[in-house]
Amino acid sequence: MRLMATSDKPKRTLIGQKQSKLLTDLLVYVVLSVVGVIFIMPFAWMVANSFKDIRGIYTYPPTFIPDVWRFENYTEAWSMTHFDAGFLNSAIVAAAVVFGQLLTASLAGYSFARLRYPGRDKIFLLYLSLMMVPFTVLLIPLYVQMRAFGWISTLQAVIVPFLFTPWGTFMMRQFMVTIPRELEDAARIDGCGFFRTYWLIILPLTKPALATLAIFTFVNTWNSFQWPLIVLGKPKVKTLPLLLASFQNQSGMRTPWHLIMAAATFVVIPVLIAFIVGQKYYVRGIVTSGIKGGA
Amino acid sequence: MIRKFALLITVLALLSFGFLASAQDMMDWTCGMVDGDTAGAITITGWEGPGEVDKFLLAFDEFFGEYYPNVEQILNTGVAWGDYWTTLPAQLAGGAEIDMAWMHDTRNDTFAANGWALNLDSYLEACPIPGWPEMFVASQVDAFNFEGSQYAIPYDLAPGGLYINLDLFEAAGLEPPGEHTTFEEFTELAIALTEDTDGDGSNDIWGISNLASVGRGAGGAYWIIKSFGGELFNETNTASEMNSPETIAALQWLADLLWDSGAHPTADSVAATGFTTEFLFANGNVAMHYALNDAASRMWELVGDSFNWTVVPTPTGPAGRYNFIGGSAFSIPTSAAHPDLSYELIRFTLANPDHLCRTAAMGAALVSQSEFHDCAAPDDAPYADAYHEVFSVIGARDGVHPAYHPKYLEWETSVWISNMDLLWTGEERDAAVVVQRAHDQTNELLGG
Repeated sequence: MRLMATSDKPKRTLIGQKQSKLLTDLLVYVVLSVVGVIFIMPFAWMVANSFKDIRGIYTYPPTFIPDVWRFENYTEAWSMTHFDAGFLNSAIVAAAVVFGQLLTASLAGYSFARLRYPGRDKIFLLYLSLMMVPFTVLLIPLYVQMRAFGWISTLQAVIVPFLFTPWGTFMMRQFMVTIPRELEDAARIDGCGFFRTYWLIILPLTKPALATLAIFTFVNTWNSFQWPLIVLGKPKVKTLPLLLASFQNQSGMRTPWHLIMAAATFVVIPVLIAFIVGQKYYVRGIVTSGIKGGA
Repeated sequence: MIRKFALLITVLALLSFGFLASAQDMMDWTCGMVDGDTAGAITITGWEGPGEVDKFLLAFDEFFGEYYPNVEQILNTGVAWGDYWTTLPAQLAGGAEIDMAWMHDTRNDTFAANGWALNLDSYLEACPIPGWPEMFVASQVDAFNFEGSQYAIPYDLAPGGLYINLDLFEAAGLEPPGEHTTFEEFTELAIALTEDTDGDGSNDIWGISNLASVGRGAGGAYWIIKSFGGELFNETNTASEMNSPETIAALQWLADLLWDSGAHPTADSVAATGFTTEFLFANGNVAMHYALNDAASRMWELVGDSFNWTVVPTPTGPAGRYNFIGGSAFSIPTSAAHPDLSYELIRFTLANPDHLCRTAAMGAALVSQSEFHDCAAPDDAPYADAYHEVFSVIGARDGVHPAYHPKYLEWETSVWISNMDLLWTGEERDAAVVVQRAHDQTNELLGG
């Protein structure tokens, strides 16, 4: 009996622990599922409304599933404005800015992390302090600059000012300081200069940080609205968020919400793909830098 | 032979007449300031989006097609209202070469005072707009006049009125209000029509909606303040006159509709439905809905044949009858590359009788030339007669709006909205308390 009793106790404890863990996991999953549903609702609502007719949008009380399914909303929305040009413009701008920021941020990050020169840390702090300047303050000076360059209503105006990023530089530097110095020393012994070391040793090792920066930059650039709105006046150079916003009318009742929802759905697809592909880097970026989104 | 000769003479006469007519047309709609062979691009920006802006785009196409075929139009229209008023000042402060810009009466003085909008007096003198200013509604001409100079040419006027669900009135055995209905009678009607149909303790049919809402500018209440005999500023706009008993009484009347009688839906009850009050009216949940004239065509589309409705004038107060009036206009920025061409375009668009009726009908807003007011409501629209009476006649006659001085926008957001929202959200229910605070802040801002 005694033996039984002593052998039963840990078993019960083990079962109790398992049950407790199961219960905790269940609770966590339930909470996460509820939060997940709350977060996905606006997206699901957008997709559901993209298949309704205008009366379906205004039905009270609102219904989630459309009474009449209008698949033609997508073709109508596409043909309402220059979405083909918009996709191309957004793709060019996003690709150029992503490429530019990866190059400049990694070079600057390498410089601030590894090179030794007088005033390096002060320059780094000065560069970082630019993150504290609200973009609104820069709107007019930047516009004057773009006008002087003759870049108003050109894609250069939404690409060039965003090729440099203090936030990206900060993130790259933080990542690069964790790379063992021995690797660089070995490269130097093998005859590599600063740039070859950067290109052949450091850059391949910073792929996770580069991927994180690429995803953040892509999402931010793809969704960028205020600056493009100010500087891109010609319809054919407009990016997707501007085209989407142009569907709206001063009067909400005249706005074709069903078409806007359809357009918003196909506009968001590239961002969704980018997020799904690079989800782990996105999360890592928040962990590494403590900041959600740059620029 | 004689018949051939007569035919030849007729053809020649017709050709001559056509030539003379077109020559006359050329004289009328160009001012001789711009060479007909001019090539280049004219940049136009505005907030009106697809469907709304078409009425003007047709006129623009006709103008350039006929007089300046080598000029390309760069249209940046459909900029959302809020975004428009943040981007346009940034663009103009940065020297953007925008040739023509949509302007609103609430912003005109700010743009003029900042030197962003061109003074149009010399243009109006050198090449007068036919019918200017006598055929334009005086309040709208005045709304775009700053310190005695004209800075924009109005293209519409937007008076306020009441949209009435006749079926709800009939079911309650009540008569809709009229021009001479007093505020007391109006309040009684609103209360009588308010109903909790499902008995769940909260109203689902309201007597009146859209008189007060969170974030609403002062224009929405100014006509009520005037009706009660109150005022916002002194004549020179240098000091507040808000703390008069009349202004307080007007605002207390509004607050009581929300919090005392419950005849007006609160912001929370509207938000709970997921719609705006306009949709609530269209769904049959509101008996009287306050809105501007441009809501009529939308109501026609949305209500369909769900219920009978019409429009009536807003009530008469102890100090007389007033209704809100607002409007938009076309302006030429000071940094425009082609101001002469822009002026000719504005002149053609807003004064050519060949297309004004079409413009009014397509926008369902009144073009600022009184003889075309009737075009705004289609003849077959059931509300056409009432629309004409309420908006074109009474609305234009009794229209008032606050004095839109250069500090108006700053005042509206930092003083009016921030204080009045306390009343509309129920955080403070005594209008005198809110008004006194707003009065002090106004004097601080205006230096009075």
